[in-house]
Amino acid sequence: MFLALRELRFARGRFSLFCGVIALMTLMVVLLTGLTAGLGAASVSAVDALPGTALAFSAEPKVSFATSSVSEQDQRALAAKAGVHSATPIGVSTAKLTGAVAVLGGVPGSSPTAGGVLVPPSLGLATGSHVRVNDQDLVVTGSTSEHSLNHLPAVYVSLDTWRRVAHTSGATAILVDAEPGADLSSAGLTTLSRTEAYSAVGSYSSEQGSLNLMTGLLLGISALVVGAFFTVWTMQRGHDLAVVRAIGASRSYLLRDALGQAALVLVIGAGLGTALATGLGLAASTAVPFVLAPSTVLVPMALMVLVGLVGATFAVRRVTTVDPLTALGAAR
Amino acid sequence: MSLHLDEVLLTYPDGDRRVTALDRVSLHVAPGEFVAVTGPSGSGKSSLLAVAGKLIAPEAGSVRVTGTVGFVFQQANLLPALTALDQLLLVGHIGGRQDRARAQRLLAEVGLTEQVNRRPHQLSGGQRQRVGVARALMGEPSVLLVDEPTSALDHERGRAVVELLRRVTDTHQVATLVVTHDLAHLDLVDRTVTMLDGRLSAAGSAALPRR
Ligand SMILES: Nc1ncnc2c1ncn2[C@@H]1O[C@H](COP(=O)(O)OP(=O)(O)OP(=O)(O)O)[C@@H](O)[C@H]1O
Ligand SMILES: [Mg+2]
Repeated sequence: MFLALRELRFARGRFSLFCGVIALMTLMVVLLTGLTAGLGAASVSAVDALPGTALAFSAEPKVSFATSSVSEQDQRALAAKAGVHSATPIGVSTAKLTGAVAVLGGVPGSSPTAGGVLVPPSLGLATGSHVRVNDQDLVVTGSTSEHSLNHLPAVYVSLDTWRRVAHTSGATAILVDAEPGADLSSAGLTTLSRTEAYSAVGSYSSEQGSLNLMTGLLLGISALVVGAFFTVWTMQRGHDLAVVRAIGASRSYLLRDALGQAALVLVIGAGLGTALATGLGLAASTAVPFVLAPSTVLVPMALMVLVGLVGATFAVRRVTTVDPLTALGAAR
Repeated sequence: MSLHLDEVLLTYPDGDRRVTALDRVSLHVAPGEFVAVTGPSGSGKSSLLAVAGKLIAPEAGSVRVTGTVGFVFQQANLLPALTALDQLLLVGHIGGRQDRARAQRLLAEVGLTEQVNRRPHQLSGGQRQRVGVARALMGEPSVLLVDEPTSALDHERGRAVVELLRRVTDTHQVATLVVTHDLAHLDLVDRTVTMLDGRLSAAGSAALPRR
């Protein structure tokens, strides 16, 4: 990297500008990734917190918590299957408390006595306070961790209470706890693993899909921008490269030097952008759902460097085709 | 014998024909010998250097070089990002060894002790050409190939560069082959050969004995 480092210093204006572009692109990718994870958690963290190994919904073209409805026969059929330890009906619906909430009924471990409700601290309701959920008067009997479903805070009641709140006699889905590999197929039901069940939350798939598409597009654009920059840069110094070849450098020497240069610029740019995004994310995480974790910070940064290197490799590989002959006076 | 060209044939594609740039050229240059190549434009002088420096392989004939080759180019061809010292150190880096002391000694030898940390745009044309000569010597070549070193310089500075080449040819005992249009400096060379349409003739060599 003898030449690479000196060129960086010499053309520092050009490279600073380019580092700035990479930093901004990385900033956007990291922010988007953090936001995607944050919105994902706001959509499905209550599903994630459910016990058991699988969830059974009524079979429909598009399985959804909003439309699923299961019966006691469904529950008994699943409970009778080999390898199934338990099959528990749960209720899931939206209701009005102080604001809109997701009401989960009958979740093992989070099921208070009849007439009671467990609420997250963020709702600001003290234990013992009387609340009205839809048309039911309930008492707060304790608090739960902060979970949410479809961007609504999750509150927990018993299945009977849920039935009164939701005005139904059935249940929404069946929580299954089974041995790995157990056959959970049952007529009229669609059984999904916990992560598959994310898609049963209305907005989750389309939300994550569009955000991931944006991130992917940004990464693609970054590869093109990096490629374009290094194409121009390599062409600009074509004559210099011919001279370096003529004074004895091999093709691989030039390639290593040029790739090292690209990698260094990318790491600096992506590092700056990531630092900036981390700062912004910390500041914004109180206002917007934003997850700061290695997977939402380091992974997009590494991806950025990686796609940048792909773009740079395409651009820089032309250093190997530089003809040292062009360094000589009139010979073309 | 440091540089040995024997019956070298080189053609370039030119549409559906080929142009003959070197037509069975033979040339030998001994260590410490300073040979000038003159000839009209397009006669094959640069091609001769390219073949001698193994930048192109000839179609027929043989090119033998004992040791390595150093190039000095028409416009000095220094790298804009590097200081004078770094131009030389790059050669060392390519060769896998860093010899700062040698680089500094060579720059002093070409009279640029003060300018080691200047970049090309901070040097005059003559100084650039001197850095070019020092850079060519950095790889401890046994053959020095020089393409029109004076064409960008005025008479005085051009002469100073040819004098420098004469001096390093003697002190470093390199075989130097210099392409030049500048007939005024031919009194400094040992031998002049002339290219005409790809053919080499020894015209002038006997007429201009230097020593
Ligand atoms: N890469 C090339 N492709 C095709 N023809 C070439 C190429 N390089 C040189 N030639 C041709 O080969 C012949 C010799 O060219 P060369 O550059 O060696 O001449 P020269 O004596 O150095 O000329 P000048 O004094 O103008 O530098 C010319 O006819 C030139 O047009
Ligand atoms: Mg020429």
